[in-house]
Amino acid sequence: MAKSTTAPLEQTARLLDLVPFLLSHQGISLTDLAKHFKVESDVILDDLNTLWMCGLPGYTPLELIDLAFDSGFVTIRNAAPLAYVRTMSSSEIVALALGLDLLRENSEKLGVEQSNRIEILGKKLRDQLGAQISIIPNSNTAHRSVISKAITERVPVEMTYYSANSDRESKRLVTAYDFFRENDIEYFQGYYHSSRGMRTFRVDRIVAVSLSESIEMIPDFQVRKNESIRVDATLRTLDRASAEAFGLVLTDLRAGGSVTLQAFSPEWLIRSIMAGAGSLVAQSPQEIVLQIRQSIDSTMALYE
Amino acid sequence: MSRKSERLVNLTIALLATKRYLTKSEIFRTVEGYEGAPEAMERMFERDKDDLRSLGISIELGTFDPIFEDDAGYRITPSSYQLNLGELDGTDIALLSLAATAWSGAALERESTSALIKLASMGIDSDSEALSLLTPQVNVTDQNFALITEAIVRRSEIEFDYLSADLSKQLRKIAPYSMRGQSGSWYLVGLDRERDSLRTFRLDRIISQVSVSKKINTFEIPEPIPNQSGDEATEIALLRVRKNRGHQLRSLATLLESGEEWDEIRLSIVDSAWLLRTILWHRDDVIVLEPPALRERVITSLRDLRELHG
Repeated sequence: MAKSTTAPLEQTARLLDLVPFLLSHQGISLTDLAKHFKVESDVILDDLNTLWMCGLPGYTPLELIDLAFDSGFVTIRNAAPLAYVRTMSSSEIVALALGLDLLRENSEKLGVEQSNRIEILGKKLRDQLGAQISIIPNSNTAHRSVISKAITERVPVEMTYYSANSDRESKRLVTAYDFFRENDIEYFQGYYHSSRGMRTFRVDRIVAVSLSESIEMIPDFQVRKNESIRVDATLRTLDRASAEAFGLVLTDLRAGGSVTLQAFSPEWLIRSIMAGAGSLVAQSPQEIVLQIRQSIDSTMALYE
Repeated sequence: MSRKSERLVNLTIALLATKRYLTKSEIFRTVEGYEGAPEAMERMFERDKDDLRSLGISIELGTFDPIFEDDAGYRITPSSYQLNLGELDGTDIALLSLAATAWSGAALERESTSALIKLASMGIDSDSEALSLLTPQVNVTDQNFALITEAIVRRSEIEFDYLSADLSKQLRKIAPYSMRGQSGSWYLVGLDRERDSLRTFRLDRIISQVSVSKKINTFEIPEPIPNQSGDEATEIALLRVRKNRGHQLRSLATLLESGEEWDEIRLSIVDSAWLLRTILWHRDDVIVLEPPALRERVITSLRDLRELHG
């Protein structure tokens, strides 16, 4: 995000990084320069005005860094002592190493050569840290990002999905709607084009996923996103798992208070209320309460 | 314009350009920005050294003449200042740049921006044509993420408020070992100092800003990190699961017997609260056979549910 003022230390870091960047980007426009550093143009101008006063002891024109930027384009000379690209901080290395892990998770799109390169680069970075830092992103993160993009851009995805029911992988065209979480497992709700209906998919069962160019339309009645059902309930006991399942704001809850539960699928909602073993009590609508009662009865019958 | 950043840059230039150690008095005499009483300049210099160190710049202290230790001086060696990732070509730069963009809008965005600038400054043309990859995206915006990763690298202990299973707030003191992303959430694994056992924490259940101890290298991270202690499974559950149902339970279990309508499976009880929830979630697709205590808990829970929804 662009900032208009920065602290002295932050500015110092930027000034030190500006020199090698300018040396390799002679003639860059002020606008582009600000964009690269993700700051406002006046911040970059202030930086250049400061840098212009810096140089080797003596500080005559012979020693000072020579900058020209009146034209709106920046050139730099006489900056040899600061020409080195500064070493990376541990956070910068962590950011790169993690990003590489994510790239590797996208392996179906990578050739062997690129996978090997990523492996080697990742090792180099971790060696730089001088510490074995084990940040292991899950493959879901990459798949999830594709789904998330598809939801925002309202495009369908082409997905290879593992079905535990049939123990088979199959290719599907799905228009995704929303993520939800249950028992620490992430799902998303989507319109499955071949069966013309809404289905629930587990994020961790996605084998491969990519944005589709298909322009297949979804029947109107399916597009309305707000088709979720709402249930008024009482939160009888403070139970983190129940609250998280329904995405309630954890810090706002009190025992005995009323909450509104929302879900796309009534079945999922009923199951999740039952999973809470009584921490959530549905009050209305009556038909949901009735269905919960039936579910409890049929389950109890197994133990009689 | 900041006088301080100007002085810090001038100090860095002077110390980087020098072939020999510069004494303090030489620095005060020649580097622009040091003025005032000697004590004031001393204090200023000490702060400046700390500030540069916090930017990852190490200032070396040494003497030109081992006999006269008074002549101790300072310099920054280019080898310690300069980024060194070994030989890199255009494809490597492109891969690293792509890796950095994963943080756009996420927790380490500032760090990845400066990393991108450094990569772009190396004077190697990025060869991104070879890459037709989808840009990866990290989905963590939690500011605690950056604080915890920094603490792992520095081996510094951390403290935070954590929401426990009954939603009460608990202060936890942790030696952080690792972070991992799973099912869209991030988890911190670390040694709980007060309980002296390894614990896992979900990042979004941390409800305060993580406070990182200033002390570094206060613990060692075991390699490999052992499995969670204290939660070792001692009990076994026997369940009857309807055909083609209960996948979540099946994935953790061994199939004992396969019948026409039901299968019998066996699994270790690692987290009994989770198991109870999961069994109830599966409604009439799962029956608990053993142990009796678990069976009893399921029945009691069902009775409670029935009464509350009566």
